[in-house]
Amino acid sequence: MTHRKMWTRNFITGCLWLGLLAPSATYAELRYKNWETTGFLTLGYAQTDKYDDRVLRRNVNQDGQELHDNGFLVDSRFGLQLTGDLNDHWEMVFQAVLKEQYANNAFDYVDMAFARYRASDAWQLALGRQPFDTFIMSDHVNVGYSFDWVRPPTEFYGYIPFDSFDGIKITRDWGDFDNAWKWSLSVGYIEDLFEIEVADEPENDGADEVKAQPIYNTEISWRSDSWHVRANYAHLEFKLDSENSRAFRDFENTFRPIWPDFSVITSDFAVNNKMSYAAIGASWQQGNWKIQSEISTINADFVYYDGERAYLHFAYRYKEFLPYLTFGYATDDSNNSYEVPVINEPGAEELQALFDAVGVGLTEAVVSVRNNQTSISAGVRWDYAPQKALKFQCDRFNFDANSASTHGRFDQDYSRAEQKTWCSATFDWAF
Amino acid sequence: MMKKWLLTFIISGLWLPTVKAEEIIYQTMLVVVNPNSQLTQLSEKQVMSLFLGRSKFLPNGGGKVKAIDYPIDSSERAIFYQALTGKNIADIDAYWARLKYSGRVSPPQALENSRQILQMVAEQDTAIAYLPSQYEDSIAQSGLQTVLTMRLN
Repeated sequence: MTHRKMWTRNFITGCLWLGLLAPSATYAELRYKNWETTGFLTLGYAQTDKYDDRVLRRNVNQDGQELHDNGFLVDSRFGLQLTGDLNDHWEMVFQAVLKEQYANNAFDYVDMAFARYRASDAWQLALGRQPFDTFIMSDHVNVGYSFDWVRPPTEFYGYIPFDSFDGIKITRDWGDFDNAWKWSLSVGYIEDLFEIEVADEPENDGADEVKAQPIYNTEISWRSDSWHVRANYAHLEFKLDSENSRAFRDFENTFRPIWPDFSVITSDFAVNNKMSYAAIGASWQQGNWKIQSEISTINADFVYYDGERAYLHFAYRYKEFLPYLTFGYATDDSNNSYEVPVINEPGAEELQALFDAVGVGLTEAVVSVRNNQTSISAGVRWDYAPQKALKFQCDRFNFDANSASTHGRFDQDYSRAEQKTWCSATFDWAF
Repeated sequence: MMKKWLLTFIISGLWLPTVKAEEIIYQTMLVVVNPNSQLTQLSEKQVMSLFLGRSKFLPNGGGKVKAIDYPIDSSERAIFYQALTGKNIADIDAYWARLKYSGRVSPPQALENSRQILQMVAEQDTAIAYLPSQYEDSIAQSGLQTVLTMRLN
């Protein structure tokens, strides 16, 4: 079954389940008064170009081909949340979000399903599927209404293939309103599908499975009336069995005797790796002004993900309108380059041609995960009614040469630097 | 079929009645609690903590707080949060969307009118609510405790 058919089938199934959930939860709400069903909807339309161009994606979990065919799938999403206070200390949260994504089994649409024990204002413990803390200032990543912008800056968030994890999280709060501190520690597991190289062939979805087990994450935050600062450090045992990894491994035994450095290549594209992620974010809001920024660095002992990301966001509230300006930045330090051996022996032309082809493949593989881009986004949010907003945003992206970034090309031609301007509009509703 | 369903849902969402409550200028807002909470006074910062989800328990070590709100489109709510935080109500709604949909904490429960709010605070030991000063007599008759008087500009 193609990805599109599966997506449509699961979308319909998901709607039916969510539709069933809503009335039953309402009944529960009437019975116990402590259950609440709420939800959110974003209906968006993003200007997209044709197959010979780059694709505007919200993140790497989305299928580039689907987005090119359906501009409304980039940002559109529909979520339902069921929250229950069982007693003074135990709470349950369940959230399901329908959106365009590769992983499309029913359980993949569940973003939260956890129980929390709140011992006091100081201590709490949560167990189950819950938000992943790398989205430090945006851990409500699917809820359009909660953001100023149409979508979180893709330079910073677009390449992260996870938005929730299964595990345990302990949280400690202390301080007072003007000096409130929070610290948390979590351990868990994540699994997802994502697309490294965008593909337009129906038979090749290009999706790769990625797992992180275990993940260790710690976070500290400080909040005053106007300021909110969060810092996060995560260590992940990362498993990425990509198509490129498999292809290079297949060559290893054949090539090693005559291409001694090939073991470096298979090591760079190894399946099991370690990764560390550190980020700090700050938000300041005083009167009508709001400024928010985040910086992250990621270090991995393989070819994927090694660089810095950042964004800076300004917004000004004028009655129901919120004009804003956002600058995004991403750079990858990984400059992996490989020397293809030259065989000066008669009759080795075919082998040399194979080496050269592998060399081209290696370059493409490195470029496909390189994320060297900047952007300027300008937009306006109009809060025209309670819990409803309309947004319009234009993004100007600058892509360096030899960098696929989140917004890859279908023809995989990254030989030159490019600039792209895309505009998007959304209707956001929290209900 | 699916597209029709979606379209109907979205259009109804876009154009659901969004008539705002009549703009009323209040001079004073009273923050009230149930007398069984043993609270007699709260500071403005403590009230902010309780109504913005930063504190989930009453400050005197009482039970889990049950904060009560006016409806989301009411002028009482907009005025109260503007006075308490200095922020536009749209920013407060976005703030609550961030907290609620990241699974951290639920916003205060919205009730339809002042009569229901008075009744809820009278019934729930850990409830806290705000009411315009015109309900001062009703507050006294219900035996509720005023813990903060907020004078509005």
